[in-house]
Amino acid sequence: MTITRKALQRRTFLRGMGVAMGLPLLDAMVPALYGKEIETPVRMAYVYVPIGAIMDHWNPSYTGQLRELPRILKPMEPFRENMLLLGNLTHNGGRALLDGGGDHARATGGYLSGVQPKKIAEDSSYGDRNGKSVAAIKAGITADQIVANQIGGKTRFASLEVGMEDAQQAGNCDSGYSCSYTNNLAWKSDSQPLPPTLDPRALFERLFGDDGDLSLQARDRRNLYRRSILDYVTEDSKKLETRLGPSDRSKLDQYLTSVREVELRIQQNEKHNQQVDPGMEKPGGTPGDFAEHFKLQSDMITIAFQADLTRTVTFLVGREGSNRPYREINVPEGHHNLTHHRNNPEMIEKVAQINCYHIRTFAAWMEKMQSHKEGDRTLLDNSMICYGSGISDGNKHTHEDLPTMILGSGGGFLKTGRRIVYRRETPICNLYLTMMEAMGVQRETFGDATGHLPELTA
Amino acid sequence: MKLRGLGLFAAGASLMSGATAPTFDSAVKPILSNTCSACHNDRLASGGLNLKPFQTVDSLSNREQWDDILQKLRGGEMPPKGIPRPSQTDIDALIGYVQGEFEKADRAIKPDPGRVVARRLNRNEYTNTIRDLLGVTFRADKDFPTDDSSYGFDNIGEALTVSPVLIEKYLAAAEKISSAAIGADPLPKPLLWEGRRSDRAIRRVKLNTAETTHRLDVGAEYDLRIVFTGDPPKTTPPATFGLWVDGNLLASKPLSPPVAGREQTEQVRVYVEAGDHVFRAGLVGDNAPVPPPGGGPPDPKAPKPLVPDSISINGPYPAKVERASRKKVLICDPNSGTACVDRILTQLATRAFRRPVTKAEVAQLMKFYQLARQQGQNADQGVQLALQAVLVSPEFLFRVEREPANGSIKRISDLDLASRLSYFLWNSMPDEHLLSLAESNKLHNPETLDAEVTRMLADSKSSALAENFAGQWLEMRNLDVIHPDPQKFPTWSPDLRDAFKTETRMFFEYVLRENRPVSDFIDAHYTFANQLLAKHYGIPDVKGDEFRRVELKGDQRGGILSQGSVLTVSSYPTRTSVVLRGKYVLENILGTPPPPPPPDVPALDEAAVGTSASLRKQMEAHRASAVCASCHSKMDVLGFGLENYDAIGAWRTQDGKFPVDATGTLPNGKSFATPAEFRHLLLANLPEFEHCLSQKMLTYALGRGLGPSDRITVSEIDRKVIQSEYRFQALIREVVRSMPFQMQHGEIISRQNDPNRPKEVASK
Amino acid sequence: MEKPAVGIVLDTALSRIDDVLAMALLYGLDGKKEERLVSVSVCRANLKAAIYSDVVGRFYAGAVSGAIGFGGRTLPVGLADSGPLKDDLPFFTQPLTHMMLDGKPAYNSDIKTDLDTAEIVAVVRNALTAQWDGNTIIVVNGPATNIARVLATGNSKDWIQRKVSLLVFAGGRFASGPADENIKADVASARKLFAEWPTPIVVCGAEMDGLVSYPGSSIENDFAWSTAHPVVDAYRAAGKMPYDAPVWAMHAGLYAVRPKENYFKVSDAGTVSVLEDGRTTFTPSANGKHRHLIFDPSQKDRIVKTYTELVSAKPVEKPARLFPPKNQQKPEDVKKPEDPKK
Repeated sequence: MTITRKALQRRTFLRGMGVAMGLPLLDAMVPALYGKEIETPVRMAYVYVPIGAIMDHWNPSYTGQLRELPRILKPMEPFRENMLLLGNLTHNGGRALLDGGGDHARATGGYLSGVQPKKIAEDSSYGDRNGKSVAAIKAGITADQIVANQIGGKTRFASLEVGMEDAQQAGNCDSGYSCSYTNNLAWKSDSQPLPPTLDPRALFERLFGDDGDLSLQARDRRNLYRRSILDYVTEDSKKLETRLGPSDRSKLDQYLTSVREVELRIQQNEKHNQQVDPGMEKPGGTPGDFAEHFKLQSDMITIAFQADLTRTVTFLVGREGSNRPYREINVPEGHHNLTHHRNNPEMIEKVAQINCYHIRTFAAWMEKMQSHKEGDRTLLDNSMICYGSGISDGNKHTHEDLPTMILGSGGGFLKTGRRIVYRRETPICNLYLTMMEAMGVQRETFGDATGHLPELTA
Repeated sequence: MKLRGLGLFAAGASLMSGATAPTFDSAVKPILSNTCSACHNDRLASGGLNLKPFQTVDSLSNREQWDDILQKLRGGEMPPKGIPRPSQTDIDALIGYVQGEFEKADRAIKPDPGRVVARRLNRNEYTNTIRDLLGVTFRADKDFPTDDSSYGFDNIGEALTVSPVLIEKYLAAAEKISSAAIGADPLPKPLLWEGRRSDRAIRRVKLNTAETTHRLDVGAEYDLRIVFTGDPPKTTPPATFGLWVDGNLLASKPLSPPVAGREQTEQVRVYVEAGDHVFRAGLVGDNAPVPPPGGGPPDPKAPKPLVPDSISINGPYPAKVERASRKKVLICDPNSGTACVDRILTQLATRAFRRPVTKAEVAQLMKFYQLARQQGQNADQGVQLALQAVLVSPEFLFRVEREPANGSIKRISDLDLASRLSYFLWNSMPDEHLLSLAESNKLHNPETLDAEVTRMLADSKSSALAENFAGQWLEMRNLDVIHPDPQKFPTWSPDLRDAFKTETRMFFEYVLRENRPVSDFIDAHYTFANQLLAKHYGIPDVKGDEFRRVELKGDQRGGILSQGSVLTVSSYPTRTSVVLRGKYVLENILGTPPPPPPPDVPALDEAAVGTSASLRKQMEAHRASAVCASCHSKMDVLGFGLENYDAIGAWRTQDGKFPVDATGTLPNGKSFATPAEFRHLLLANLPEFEHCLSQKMLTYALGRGLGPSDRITVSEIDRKVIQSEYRFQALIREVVRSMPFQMQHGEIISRQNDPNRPKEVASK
Repeated sequence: MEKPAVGIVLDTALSRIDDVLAMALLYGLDGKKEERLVSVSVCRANLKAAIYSDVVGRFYAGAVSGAIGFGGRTLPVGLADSGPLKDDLPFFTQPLTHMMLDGKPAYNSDIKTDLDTAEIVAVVRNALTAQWDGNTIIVVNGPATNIARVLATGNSKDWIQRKVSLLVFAGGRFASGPADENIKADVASARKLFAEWPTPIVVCGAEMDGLVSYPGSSIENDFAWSTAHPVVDAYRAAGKMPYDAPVWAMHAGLYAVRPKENYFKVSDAGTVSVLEDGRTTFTPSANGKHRHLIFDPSQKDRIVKTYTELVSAKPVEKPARLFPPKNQQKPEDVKKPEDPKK
């Protein structure tokens, strides 16, 4: 309903495209963005869904060549050839070990780092007798950030953190764990989570700029001002640091490293001072409907991949332990409350419906990824979208045999179309190691990995 | 930090007075070996607890475990049903003895204020600080990433991290805010936005009223044009047209007479700040609900109610009045020369950094003024750019306190104290008065400090305590993220949700400002309501949208546990849950959070309530097993006390097919039959509620979790508050007077990087 | 929270009946709460061996203590995916075929393929992550194949150092004679173990073998209480009854759990080195990390008594997590022990 001058043109122009997934002319634009670079990059995304799945309806009874898919995965049928379904991968850091309750916090908090997140000891932020402070939150650097640190420099955004469900606003998040663990999927360091952008409009402005109306000269001036401000605050905080204790300083270091990253981004913008035309209207805000919200977020991730704005994405579809109701599919009860089904068939059925709804929505996204050609491949082929959860059975809070599915072959690196079950206790970090390799990042070990995953690559 | 003090449902130490001094062997050992060891021995270790090592007095060093044990005994949860009970006197004796030993131990601990790490302004603090610094409205909560909370609050230093996204947001916000404050940039060209009901871009909220949400990039004047369809009500004088922005009536005028056809247009020009706003247009005093869709065949002759069909917003246009923010910042005319600019920046930085600034610091900012001028911009824009820099500086974004050298314990500076105080009570920066007291080093003087607390609590800014402390303590904020099922609860609406918030907020503020005893939270004969809420509660004779104090007759309601906000956030979307509500009471009222339920326990099928057996029956089946009983015997009963309120807080006597049974018997044998009697039982535990409240208040005030060395502080606060008959302000005063609030335990500072720290920074 | 009993990580070859007896011994001690058997792995790349270990574990299920999950879940059996030992041996295959009168198998296991067994490094490491620092002892009754794998992984030395206090290894020979089987089977791994293992090692050399034996009469007499017992079945399958069985592997287990009870003498500190041909030498040195057990004839009878008692001990019916003792609850309240699979 927007009739700004710009939007008017967009409308007509979209109509012209016959709503071709609203992503016009973008591959034509990629080389334009990056001058010489011709090789099509490999992209990677981790998509996290909360509270696992009804595994009886997720795990096929067979291994090897993918045949008919189980009920929850039905919507993925069209992608059989493009996917890998992995069994028995384990997130040991999600388990209680010595820390008691809090499986939801641990499930996301250590999902991509393979560590067990620190439970806030009752006196942790008090510190020990010598006034040496003890960190209240501590997880680990995540797989996506390992990659971002290596190849992030090539794109406008080293990594992109996307989310959907707004955090619970009050109360404890899970058995005395900090909410940092359930609100964030990506961690830049063991104490620095990277908050996902939830509001589609904010995501739009972050990716495609909110300065569409600015003249080129105005934009240059703004960049000049921003850079000089960042120089100033850098100087400032260095002065400040000298009078701080270690824990205060670590706070300020987070500030400094973040400032540096933004400086780089501004330079990137200036290097190829080119506006990406997303070919979609700026979203008005956050839709209440899950599928609609998911569509907006995933469309923008797709565009970001196409235009090579980033190659590393984490997408937190819902908060672990979320109690979101799904009325659009006639499930008015809260998700979490249903997952503790205690084998009550109706409750199990409703959870399965939620799982399936998530997959349907995800499949719609994958269709777009596939509809976009990149040379003789599709955007999906050149990507690895890892869909999964840090819990498998939400009723028992298990962290073994996690629901894990990979779409796309990472530019032919992975041999797709198969169901592979690994030995029990195989750390999911082994998968991350292999995916890093596909992204051109060679590592011996990561998190609690015991090695790369065999049989995965082509 | 575990509960101490009087027992939950049993008198504690007090009973021991006069008796011959008990020993571990006389008071504790018998019960342990005769009763507890049946299950908690090294063979069974039921509940993972083996009491063998607890048979000696030395075991008291294991405070954590003993606190758990005491808690179970106090609540009467242990020994569980089916196991022979020692006499209550013996149990009290045990509790009393151990308690006494712990208090001795606590007195021995050397008092220690602990330390608070540098705190980043959270979203609310940022919003309020911008408001008070510049008089500019900026909703950080709509723009910045979520602040992760710990210990139940979102102002905990440790959890307030910084990310690149946040820095981007700070940069962009600084531009928006400073340009809104100075208004030196030309307004962008006006744009027309139109939302039609047909596009579902605007939603009908009442019979003659519709609203839409729209974001404005700049604060300025806008033309709002509303097109109505339908027949205006035949009233004399003609009904009044009204326009509300974010719930405030900005414009109203008599409805203009109908024109040919059925369309009718109203247009007003109003000033609106930048940001997301809810624009609502309709008839003043319209309280009729939206008629349900397709209610019978429409009678062509019947008048159609007048409804806004479209709302269009056209702007921005320059505001006629000079904005307050300009006056606040431009204390002289920047065009008069750099002397004035210097003055402006000095004043600005002093307030923004919450401390006096050095010449050098101002000189730094001056560079930005000059940079803008070099870029051919005018003096105002120069100041604007300098302001931008200020708003991104760590000195503004962080509350960094001067570190006591090398791990020593020192009173914090008056300037730091001023910030602690204002962010505690106002959730915002110190004002001139507070700052000047700090600069002249008078603030720490007890009388002065006390007078300031009084002044600040009287100030309307202290309603931030309701928004942020109460909003999180009572979990009111979750009202925005939980979605009661409209099928089951047709009366649920955004307006009702807002009414819930307003009621609890006003109630909290009343207890605060009137310095009422905290017992009012548990039970009170008054609340605050408008027509909508009163109707929901079944309170007669409350007319109109505005809230007012309402006396509660009868005993259906009283105190926060009978308020819609609390009752809704402690329910599932489709139904109530005695477990959730019991847990809520334990966590937020009694301060004894239950352990998390083990996953995959054979729990009761709450979902079947009202369909198969009655809730009561199932709960009893559920508690047949001693393990469930160990928590649920307490938790569920507390929940039953609130069963007369449905999942959105409406009074009910029937639940599904079954009559509501709100009776219960606490583990200590006291029983209740109505919510009112339940509240009275809770009042009997006032000391515990107060203790819970002081823990949460201290956590919120310090911005850190509490530790063992805070035990003394909290019991000290408790003692004083009880002396002053539980007055709420006494609690706040005692928190401010407490050692951790006024002192800081320094860290060892190693200065590996640049030793030549500028003198002027060193000497503030 | 008070420190739990020491955790035992057992890695066994199942190449001789005393490996089974050692397993039974450790379950017996677990039942007595002297230790907690937190992980069992087999260094024989043989699925039936893993299934048999799983069977024994389930037989003693009530007594298994290796909780890693909040639900008190235990870890699956670890299995070598390669290595020198592969063959079936009757004592661990035959019990699997034991049928009850009703035609149902006497024992159950959820291991169908080797995918149902655990990756070796992960299972040992995950077991350790759930233990208090320095509160785990590793017992190796077989070639060092698996342990060498663990040692070769990433930063394993760090977490081994932190969690493990001692490794007890049945192997080597500290008297004249040929290389013993456990080392000869995988010399490279053994060399790696003694060269790199970060904690102290106590070795139970082959010279300790054959000096004491397990009385066949115990099998005949002490198990009247059980209708089907996987250890008894194994014992009968391993040789022609009645016979007395070797107990070498049991020594390692017994010393690990009761080091202070002088069942054995212990050498001074020194260093074990493994020669190319698998023979071992022991060089005393004050700061050496290795010691080896020395047989003490005076303890012979006491040792035998201890072994027969522990091996023939009934599994302790451990009430399911959190539940009160049997006699205080209705039968339907008794929760079956967690199925380790889910």
